[in-house]
This record gives sequence, structure tokens and C-alpha cells, in this order.
Amino acid sequence: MEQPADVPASTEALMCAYQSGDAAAATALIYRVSPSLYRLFVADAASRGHADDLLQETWLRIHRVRRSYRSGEPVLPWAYAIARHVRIDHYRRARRTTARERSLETLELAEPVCESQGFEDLDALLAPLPAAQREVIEMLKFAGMSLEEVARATSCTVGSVKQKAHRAYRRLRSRVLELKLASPEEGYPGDRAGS
Amino acid sequence: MTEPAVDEAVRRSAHRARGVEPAVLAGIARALADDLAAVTPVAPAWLLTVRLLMACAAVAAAGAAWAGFDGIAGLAPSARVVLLATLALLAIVLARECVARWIPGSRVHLGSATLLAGSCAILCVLFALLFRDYRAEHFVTAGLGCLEQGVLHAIPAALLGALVLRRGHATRPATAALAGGALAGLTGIAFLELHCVNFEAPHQLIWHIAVLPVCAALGALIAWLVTRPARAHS
Repeated sequence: MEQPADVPASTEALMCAYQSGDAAAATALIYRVSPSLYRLFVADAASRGHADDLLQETWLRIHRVRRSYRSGEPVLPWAYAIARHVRIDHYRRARRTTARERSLETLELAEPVCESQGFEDLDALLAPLPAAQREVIEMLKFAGMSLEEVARATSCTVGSVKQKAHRAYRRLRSRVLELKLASPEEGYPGDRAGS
Repeated sequence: MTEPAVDEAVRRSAHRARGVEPAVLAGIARALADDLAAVTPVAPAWLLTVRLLMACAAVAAAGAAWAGFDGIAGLAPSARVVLLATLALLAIVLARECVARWIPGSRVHLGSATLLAGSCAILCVLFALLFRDYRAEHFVTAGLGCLEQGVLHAIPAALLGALVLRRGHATRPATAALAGGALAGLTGIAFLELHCVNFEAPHQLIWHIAVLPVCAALGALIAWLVTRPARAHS
């Protein structure tokens, strides 16, 4: 399957064509939406090592429930809502595995190290945030979603998302200051790679 | 420290994250292409809401037609209007929220706790205004009978609701079933208001209203139990 050429159609139009059984639209949609979904998985340490698998699982689930998308609605919150559910399932599965297979703990810890290289600054920055606030920041800042879209994706009210974002920003402000004070010669977290 | 500075820090940190491999995307595209049949999209939210409301109204009316409209007949005309209008408004809100929870990416206006507590609070105020008889004769025996009748009428409403929303997909099944259970519970309350002739305020305030949270809790519990095997093997 070749990567599709730049398709000018909107994501919503592609989704409708995908529902009609258009293979080219499905491929274009996968290439357009997947980077955002992938960022949701790699932004979190718990799902990062399995991001490829989770992305594939998300698309299989999207495919199974594609009828539940309604024409005219934004695609990204719909896809994110499903991806979130896949990630939650992954947490539960991982928790069960960890609880039952204690002897493998060291092996499981050793495996994702090579894959997680390069994420230290992101983890350091988001470390003090609770899961719900971290998720809101991921969607707002990494995926570029609006408050309304985040609210739709997380099945929350816009007010609740605003509150979480506000609290996350308050924590992030002090965290950025803290990290900057800890290594003043390096500037903000991520400066080394980003600049 | 300003917000743009935080934005910049987050942006730079996120920039380091690796992107998705093209081979993975090609694999996904190939996998989906093998089974790419056309599907009919789910009906618009307003249509699903109307269908849910009609199902609930039909269950409450059919139950009262079988048991008798004694309760509503015993109320003053103004009280009937206030009671039915409030129940209808609550049903619209609950049906909308229920549909929103069954379609991924829909706009949810009220949280589950607010929805449940708000519905109970509105019913409390309504019943406190309409029923001024503060006796409590056969409080428990009469109350348990009404609770049972209310829950029994909520069951067909919940089943019809599940039929209406069968093509949806609840990403949070327990929360979606809680909203569905609350709507089914309201159907049970509507039946009781049409049929029950016990106008004592304590009876109405405790036992009739209890149908709603009991059905909501049962709905959430059933969803949790039903999705448990899937969670265990996922």
C-alpha cells in the first residue's frame, strides 16, 4: 500500500468516503489522522513502548465501529475517544500482567529503555501532572485540538477541560521554572534537541 | 513565567518524540483494505433522542393503561401540567445526554454525577411543591411496592433504549449505561406518577424518586459486568 499523494479533501469528507467503502479515502485518512493518534500514545510513558501496537489496535476498533461516526461532526475527537479507550484497556492489561507476573518485572522494565530514549525531557516536564491533566495537555498542545474537541474526545464538559488545563498550566509553570533553575545553562527542557 | 513560555517548553519537549513509521501505516491500510464494506452511518443525534423519548413514553403509557391512570386523575389540572412538563423536560435532557454517551466524540453537557444528582434534586423540588400530605402510613410496605413497580417498568424502557442505540459505540460503557439507566428510571417514575394514588409527600419523595438512582446504579453495574470478560481478554 503506497503512501497517498496529498489529498485536498477534508478529514470529514475522507471519513464519509471511508464509510462508503472507498479504499483510497481510508488510506488517506489513516495517513492523516495516525500521527495525532500516535502522539497520544508516545506522550505517555505507560503506553510508549507499545505505541505501534496501540495505533494498530485503535484502527481496528475504528474500523469495527466506523458506522458510529456521523457526517459533519469533527473526526479527530471521535477517533481520539476511541484511542483513549484503547489506551485505557492497555493500562488495565498491563496492570494485570504486572500484578500476575512479578518475576518478569525486571525484563519488562529493561525492554522499553531503547525505545524511550529521547523522551526524558517530556517526561520530566509532564511528571507532576495527574493523568487527566496530562491527557488534556497532550490533546491541546501535541494534537492541536480545541477545548471543544478535547471535551468531545474525553466525554467531559468544556468547563471541566478548561479547569484541568488551568490546573495543568499552574503546575507546568512551576515545573518549567524548577527545571530551568536546576540546569540554567541548558535553558528550557528540550532546548538541546529542539534548537 | 508566562503561558507562552510554558507553551514553548511543551512544544520543544514534544518535538523530540519520534513519529509513526510509514511501514506501520502501510500495514494498517493493508489490513483495513481487506474488509472494506460500505456501512450506513448511525442516525443523527436528534433522531435517536426522539426515538428514545418515544420508547420511554410508550412504556410509561402502556404500563399506566394496563394498571390504570388513577394517580394523574387524582391531581389538580395545574399540578398535572407542571408534573408532566417537568418529567418531559427531564426526559429530554437525560435522552440527549444518553445519546451523547453512546456516540464517540459527542458533546457532553453534564457530567454523570451532575446529571444524576440534578435529576433527583429537580424531582425532589417538584414533589415537595405538589404533594403536601406529610403522613407516612405503611411507609415501607407501600414504598417497596412502588419501587418494585418502577424498576419493573424501567426494564422494558432500558431494553428498547438499547435497541434504539444498538448501532452506537460507548467508549465508557458504565457511564453510558448509567445515563441510560437514569432515563429508564425516569420512565419508571413517570409510570408511578400516572398510576400511584399514594399522594403522601414522604412516599413520593423517597420511594418514587429512589427508582431513578437505583436504575442508574443497576445500569452501570450491568454494563460493568457485561464488559468484564472483554476487559479480561483484551
